[in-house]
Amino acid sequence: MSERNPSLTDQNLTDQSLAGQFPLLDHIASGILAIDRDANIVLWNNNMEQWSAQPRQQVLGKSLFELFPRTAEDMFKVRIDEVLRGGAPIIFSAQLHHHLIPCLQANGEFRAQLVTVTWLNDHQIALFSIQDQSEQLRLIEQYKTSAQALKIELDQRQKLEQKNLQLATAINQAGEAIIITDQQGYLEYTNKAFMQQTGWSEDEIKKLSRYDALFDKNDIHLESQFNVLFNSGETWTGRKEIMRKDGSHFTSSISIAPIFGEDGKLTHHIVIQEDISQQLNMEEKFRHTQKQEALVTLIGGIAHDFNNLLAGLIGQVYLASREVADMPKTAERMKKIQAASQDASEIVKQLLTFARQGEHHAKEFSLKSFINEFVKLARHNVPESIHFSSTFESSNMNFRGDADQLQQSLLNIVQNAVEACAGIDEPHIEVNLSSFDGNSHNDLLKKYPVLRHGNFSHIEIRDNGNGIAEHLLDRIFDPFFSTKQLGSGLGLAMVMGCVRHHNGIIDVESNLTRGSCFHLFLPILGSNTAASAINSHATTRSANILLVDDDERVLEPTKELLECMGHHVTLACDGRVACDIFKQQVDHWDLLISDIVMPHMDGLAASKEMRLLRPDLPVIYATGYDQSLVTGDVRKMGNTILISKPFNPDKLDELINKMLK
Amino acid sequence: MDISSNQKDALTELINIGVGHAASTLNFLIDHKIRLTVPEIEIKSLQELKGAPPVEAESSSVSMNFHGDFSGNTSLTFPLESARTLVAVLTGEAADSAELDDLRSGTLAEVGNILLNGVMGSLSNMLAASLDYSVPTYQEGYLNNLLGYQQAEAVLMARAIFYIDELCISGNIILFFELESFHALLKAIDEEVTA
Repeated sequence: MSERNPSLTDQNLTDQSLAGQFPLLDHIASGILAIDRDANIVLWNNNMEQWSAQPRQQVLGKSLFELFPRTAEDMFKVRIDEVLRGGAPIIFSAQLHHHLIPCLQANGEFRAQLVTVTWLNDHQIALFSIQDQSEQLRLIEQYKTSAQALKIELDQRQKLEQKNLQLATAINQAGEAIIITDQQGYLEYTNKAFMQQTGWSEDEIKKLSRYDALFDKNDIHLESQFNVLFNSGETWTGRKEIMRKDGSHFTSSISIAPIFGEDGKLTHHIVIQEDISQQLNMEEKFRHTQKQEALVTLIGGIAHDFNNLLAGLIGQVYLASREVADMPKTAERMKKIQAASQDASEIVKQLLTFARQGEHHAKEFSLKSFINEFVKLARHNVPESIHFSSTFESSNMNFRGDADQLQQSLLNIVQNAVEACAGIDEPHIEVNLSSFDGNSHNDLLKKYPVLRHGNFSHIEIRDNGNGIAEHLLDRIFDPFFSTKQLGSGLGLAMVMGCVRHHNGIIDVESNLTRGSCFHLFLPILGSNTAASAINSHATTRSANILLVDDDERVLEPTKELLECMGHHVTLACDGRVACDIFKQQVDHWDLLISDIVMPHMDGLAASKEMRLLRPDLPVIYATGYDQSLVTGDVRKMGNTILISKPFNPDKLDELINKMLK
Repeated sequence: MDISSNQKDALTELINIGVGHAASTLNFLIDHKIRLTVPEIEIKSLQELKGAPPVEAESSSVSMNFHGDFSGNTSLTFPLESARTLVAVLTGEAADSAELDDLRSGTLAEVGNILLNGVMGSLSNMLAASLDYSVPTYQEGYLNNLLGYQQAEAVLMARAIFYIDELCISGNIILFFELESFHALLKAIDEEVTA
């Protein structure tokens, strides 16, 4: 270490003499102070006097650490002491310490300082050079405040932009069409739904003029109405027909509301436009269905009562006509009454079909065979001048229903077609049968969503005659509605009743010049269902049946029924007799049909005995009792069926076929 | 520049003592826990250093000259970005505001001053050397330009790593010696080691 000089205070060196050595120190912009090795202040320049408001006389010779206690804190004193020991210069920055010597400013804050402390070995003093950094700090504080404010503003703006974006996206993607027009009603903005509704593209919309130009032109008061509206600043709601790009229309529920600027002036209008055509269709359909149901109830009730009255009337007329056999004129009148009564009962029958209350003989049959037969029959009803054709799909399409009723319904439609073809050049009627393919009939799927579920056959009867006016289409299935002078108005009503009774759907499309097409959709059974009744007789093989019953009233008619189905029937009056007959030709029998409760030997015992010889013998037990009362034994037996008396002939036929297979 | 591994170890230890002292001073000043290490030192010629400076990006540098029993210059350099991060962590100010440059230079000067004083104090105490120092100066620029002023023949370079909370900031302590002074330093070390 170099040898140090004695301290300046030790030499009683006055400030004046030290200042005399450094006269320039009073003229520089920094605060300068110096302390001797004992930390007593030996120099205090003009700036320090001004900043601290302490004249040098007050501070010179005093201990820095005592006069300014902050400097005695460890973080300062340790390092100042190192300088006093001749160590390297030290720096106290404004950012880390703010200030070393407290110097109050006019604003009440301490002056920020960057302090460098250097040991001047020649003078044995530590020189403190203090730069004022208050202005920098103030600017920085100002900057920080501005930066903070800017950040808040940016954040707010970003949030606002996000909100606006969200709002814009929501409006653009809304289900309803949203339009913003200027004050005069000219389009300024339209969302995606608007384009979907109307078919216009974004570019094309720009060329569209006023919003109300989209409305149906038939409304002559429209323009003036909307001129008033667009200037009134009032809200308007209502329904209008809107034109699509392709010229078609749809009904729209519209709300137009004014948008006012900040100054309260009307600037724009917002239009919310909802396509309600589907909703209206649904409402119309619902209303129509309700009307039909009401008619069904009303007509069903009336027809039922009339039927009973007619039954009485016909009976009485029959008796009366016998009593007046010797009164030819009266007898003739009676005949006419009888004929009129028969006609009336036909009408009632049709009404009952419409009301789904008539006799309904359901059986399974192939629609393909049915239509095939129907076409042959219908051909007799179609004049030769009309070209009559038909097409079929190859599959059978098994269907369960009343074949007679269906046949009558189809004939009614064909009859209407024949009448529609009157006076037409090259008239033709075609009957087509296919299985319904939803892919090629999207429009029908939309109209009748139920067609998506299940298998449906599609019977189509098409003509090129005079079509039905659009406004009449909804009414043609109503009973007693007819456009023909002599029409009963029951033909199509009966068709409707029949199709509904079969859980089917009927639809008609018609054009005044191109003719009409009736579509019938009937549910078809799965492919593994039993074959149709129509061709079942043809496929049924003749069976040898042993029929056992102790009641002759059952035995005879059943024998006739079975023989009618093509079987050979042998009778037995109880179980014992049956067993004896059976044993004579064990392998001869294809089926045993037996009553259960009989004298001598009951049906169960007899069949058990027979099965000892022929275990595979099919057995049908017929019982006049509730089936639930029959013992569990019967139910457990294989190749055995239990049916109730009296037999349903169709059901019996079906069961026999099933067992013989 | 030849230096034995013993000499190198001794120098590394001396510098670590110095930065350890500096770290305790810094911990006094700042609310963060600071740890400083010098994992390695290298001895190079000035030409070697300029040929392959430790950082090529803009740097900030605090340096001061010393003269006495041995003479030279000592600098602490950081890449500018690291320097800004360091100040931001120490003071809690934003690192990206250019307006803070004025104050930032003061802060970096103080941090560098404390570190360099620690290292120089450690060296001079150990070697009982009497040294005078210039006032520390702060500069920013490319390291090669910052080093252009040095008229040194031996360069001792120590990588200093600041661990502040989760952060790790690396800088370089560079000591430039005249050749004679460096030999004097090595000799003094040898004597100390032998003693």
